[in-house]
Amino acid sequence: MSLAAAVEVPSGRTPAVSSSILRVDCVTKRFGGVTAVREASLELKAGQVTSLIGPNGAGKTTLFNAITGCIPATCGKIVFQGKRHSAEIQSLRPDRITRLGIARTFQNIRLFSNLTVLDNVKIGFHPRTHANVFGAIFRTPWSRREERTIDCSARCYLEFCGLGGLECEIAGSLPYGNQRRLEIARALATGPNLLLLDEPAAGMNPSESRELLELIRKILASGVTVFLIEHDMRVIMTISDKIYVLDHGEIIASGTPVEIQNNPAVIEAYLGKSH
Amino acid sequence: MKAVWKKLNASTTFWGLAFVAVAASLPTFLRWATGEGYETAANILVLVGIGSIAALGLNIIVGYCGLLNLGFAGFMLIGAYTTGILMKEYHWNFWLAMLASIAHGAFWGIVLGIPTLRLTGDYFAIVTFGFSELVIMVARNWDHVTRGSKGYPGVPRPPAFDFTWLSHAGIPGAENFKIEFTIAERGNYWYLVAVLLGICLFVSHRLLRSRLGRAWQALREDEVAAEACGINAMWYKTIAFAISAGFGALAGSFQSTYYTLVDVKNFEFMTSVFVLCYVVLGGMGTVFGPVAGAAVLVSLVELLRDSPAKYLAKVMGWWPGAQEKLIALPWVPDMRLMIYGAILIIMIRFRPEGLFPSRSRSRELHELGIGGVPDHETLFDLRSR
Repeated sequence: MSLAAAVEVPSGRTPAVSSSILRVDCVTKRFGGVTAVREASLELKAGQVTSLIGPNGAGKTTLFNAITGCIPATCGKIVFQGKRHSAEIQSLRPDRITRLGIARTFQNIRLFSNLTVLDNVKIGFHPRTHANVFGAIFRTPWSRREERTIDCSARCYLEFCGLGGLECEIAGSLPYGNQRRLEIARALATGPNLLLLDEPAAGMNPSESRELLELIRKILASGVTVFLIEHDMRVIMTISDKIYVLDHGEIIASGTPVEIQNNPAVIEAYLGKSH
Repeated sequence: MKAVWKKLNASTTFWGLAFVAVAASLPTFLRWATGEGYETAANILVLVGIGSIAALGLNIIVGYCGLLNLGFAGFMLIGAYTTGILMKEYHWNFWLAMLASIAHGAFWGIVLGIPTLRLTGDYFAIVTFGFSELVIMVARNWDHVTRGSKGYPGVPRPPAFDFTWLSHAGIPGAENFKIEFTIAERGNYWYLVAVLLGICLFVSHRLLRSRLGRAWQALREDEVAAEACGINAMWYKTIAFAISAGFGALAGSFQSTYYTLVDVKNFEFMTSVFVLCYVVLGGMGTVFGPVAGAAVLVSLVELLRDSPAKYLAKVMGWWPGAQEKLIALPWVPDMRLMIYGAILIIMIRFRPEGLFPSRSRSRELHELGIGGVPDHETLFDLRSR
């Protein structure tokens, strides 16, 4: 089935690097009097890792929330080049946006922590499957087949993210690093073109974050574009193709890792003026 | 042995057959066990069946989706009146009237659901409570349709299952094979309600272990994450609400033909609370839990119409004078609610996850933190997920 095929890496699915997959145009988000994000514009190239960095409270997660529809932007335009056609997504519901092909993980892990690891990933397949009430009650041959495919592909994704053999564990009882991986597996199960990772390396030790880098490379190789928020500079500088720097809700710099490392505005934002 | 049990436990066919066997033999067993008290026992059995169907319905909202519904009796009332009016005024067939009631209940479930399901937590509970009060008000005051608080008597009984024609086909003994639904034969109502209960159990079970059930559980666990997984929260909650309301209407519908009466008093706020108790104390989010809860609590509330001292007196014959003293102890039927309340408190204190807890629920209530394991094995590992 096509679901299972999606896991088989890479199969020459890597899109042409030049095409843009997501364009954020002058997006502003205000909470009452506070402007969390001010006229942010950025562009993501398909098949690349783009990163968003900035000091705490700069508005990185808010921008993620605006892109995924969790907390809609106050104004501005977000255009996503989906599987078939491009669409303006700034006013869509989060589940619609996921269906179009944007998946995300959360900064403070949001697993279905009382369900099993396998069920967590199975839930991720929701947008790609179709069984309805009728199929559920009568278990038509068609819905049985779908259920079997889900089960099989969910195990594939767990294997892919290095969680093989943990299917029956309760998600909330996994160690921290594995919970992060499970969240990524669940996000991948939705079949995204673009994966938004919100601080995936937070709280990981160096060897775990090395494994995470490995995983991100695998995801990239399978044809999924990655947009990353991260504080761990080693991770950022190793894997990013392009970096945007957000400070006080405004994008103050963008460029390759080397450019960002030498940008005075970035150094000022992170370390203060006197430096 | 354990492996065999585990395999049987996972098998729907096994549980289905077990249910059929138990349901079919219960009236015979009760007749043998209770002798003269059979009528009372059969009555309790039927009420347990009705309570179980209602509890299964509420369980879909409360247990699967994690939304507190305090107005469930409203849907039961809608179902009861729909069946009553269709059968009495329009002479509908019982089964058709029942289906119409389910549809009608589900319709109001959707009508209530669309505006209110955006609300969260306590606000949602309050609106559902308001809805059931609204339904009661309409039923009380729409005199020329519902006869208001006088009640709606004379609902026809379900038609008999008549298999006597089989005797013409030469099957011996078939001339007596007729199941009639009358007051004298309350046990027969049990067969009917057992069939309906069986269907409801089956549907609950299938729904829980499907894409739909997973979506509901995801919404219960974390709505934001569920939406990020592409689940349309409003849509799935509305479906849950409609199915749940349909079950409720079915319970009400059957009750109206059993009592041959629709009385608003039977569907007031306390009924909603009782059904909620069946679900919570039986085990939220499991398939068998609500039925177990209904069985225990309905029997209790019915049996305690008589003083517990009277039951005790029956076995105290060997102690001279004890029987007379026990029987003479004062007892008012409403005192049963005191005992009922005490049992609820004891349950909540010592087994808050219910008689048949779901794994996720016991985990939540006996949280040991990351890396923790549930601190006890359940009575029957029902593998609810």
